[in-house]
Amino acid sequence: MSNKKKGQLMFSSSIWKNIAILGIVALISGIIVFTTYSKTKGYIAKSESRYAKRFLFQVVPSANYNNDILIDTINIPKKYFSMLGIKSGENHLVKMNGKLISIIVPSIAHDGYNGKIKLLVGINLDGSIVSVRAISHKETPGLGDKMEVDKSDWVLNFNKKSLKNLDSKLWKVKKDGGYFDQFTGATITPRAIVKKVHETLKYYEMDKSRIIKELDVFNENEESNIFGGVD
Amino acid sequence: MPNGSYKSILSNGIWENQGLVQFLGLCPLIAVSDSVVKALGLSLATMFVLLFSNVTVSLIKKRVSGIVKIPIFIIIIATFTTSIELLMKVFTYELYMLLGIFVPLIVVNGLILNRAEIFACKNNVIKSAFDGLIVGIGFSSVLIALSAVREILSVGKIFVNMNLLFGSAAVDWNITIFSEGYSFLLFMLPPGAFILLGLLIALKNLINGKVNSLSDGERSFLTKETKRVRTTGPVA
Repeated sequence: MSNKKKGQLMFSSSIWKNIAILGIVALISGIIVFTTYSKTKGYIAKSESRYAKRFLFQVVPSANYNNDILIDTINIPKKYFSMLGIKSGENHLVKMNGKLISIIVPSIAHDGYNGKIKLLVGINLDGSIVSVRAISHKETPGLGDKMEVDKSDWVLNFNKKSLKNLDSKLWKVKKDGGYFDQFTGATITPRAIVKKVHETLKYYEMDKSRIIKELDVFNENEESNIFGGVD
Repeated sequence: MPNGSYKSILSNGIWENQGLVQFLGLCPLIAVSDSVVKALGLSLATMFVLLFSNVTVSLIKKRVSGIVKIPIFIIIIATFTTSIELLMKVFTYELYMLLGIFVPLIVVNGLILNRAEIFACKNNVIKSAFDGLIVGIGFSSVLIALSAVREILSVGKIFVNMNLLFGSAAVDWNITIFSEGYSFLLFMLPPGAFILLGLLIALKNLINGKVNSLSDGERSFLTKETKRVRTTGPVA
């Protein structure tokens, strides 16, 4: 009996030793990771915003605005989220001397060949497209990645198109009787993008009046403040 | 298993390569070898983790034993992987986005755990650091060689986007080898990587065979018996 007790004691003491070592190692590595994280947090936030900006800058030519398009945003009402395929997001406002020129709408095509295709669609106030950029996707390299602007000019086909100058029936790839080319060997990807860009334009038509109204209210307030100051 | 002389570390790490002989770390080898810049980025990250995990494991080798050994090694490797991940986000954010999941996946790279288990926990700190460095170089050289061939064969260029790693000075580093607009899909995709890796292994075995057929006197240190077994460190 005493033998058995001794065995149990040894067993449990080795377990405690292991737990202690494991705990110490976990604690030390936790401290290391936390230190690295807190030291790099600020720099990472900067890198992230620079990265996000890069795509916004590609959508609208930099000569066309002079506001900070990264932080100048207006919300998207929740009811439009499913239409745009997004779970959260904001429209970025492109302004010249305080006057709204165009907006950049985020949307996600979920019916690509392989996962989500995240898009940014720049739309002028009159409803015509400034340009479209795919900011992330997992389509097949060499086949389905021709929507990237440095691989092919395909995405430039969207420029200046609107619901008015291109009939609703033509917002399809050529294979489906529409206006847009498909890629050689890949139809699913362009089909998904064309569909989503079309939906994004429809969203803009539905939400346009609200956006302009909200911005006008904002501008009026600003103006009245100026007059207030003059008085 | 591996004895600790520097010469054997060198020949084991570079020639009896972890990637080519033991087929460890195949996942990143196949997945990120489609361009040189990605290969280089992941190589540097892997080398960093390998070096520091080897050193740390060697430092604490007397304190850990038995069933907690592997979990502790994994914690150590995960710590350094997370750190390098954060550092990459600071310095080369775009490259980090290109590499995606394969940076955090360094944790499960069998190569690193293998070195910790069969070398670092049996040797002193300096030897372990040397081993980490050499094995890292061996792995990187396979990865970079594979990516260079793949990049040339798939898009006809080499050193594309090197500015992601070396800053704006490297924007013009890309060299067009075949005509503009050339592309070969097979080598862009993982099957191409498998085929080329197979050819690389065949080439290595061919050289091994040639060296082995020489007389004893002419043999260099490279001729150490090829161990063509897949070793995952013995589980304690």
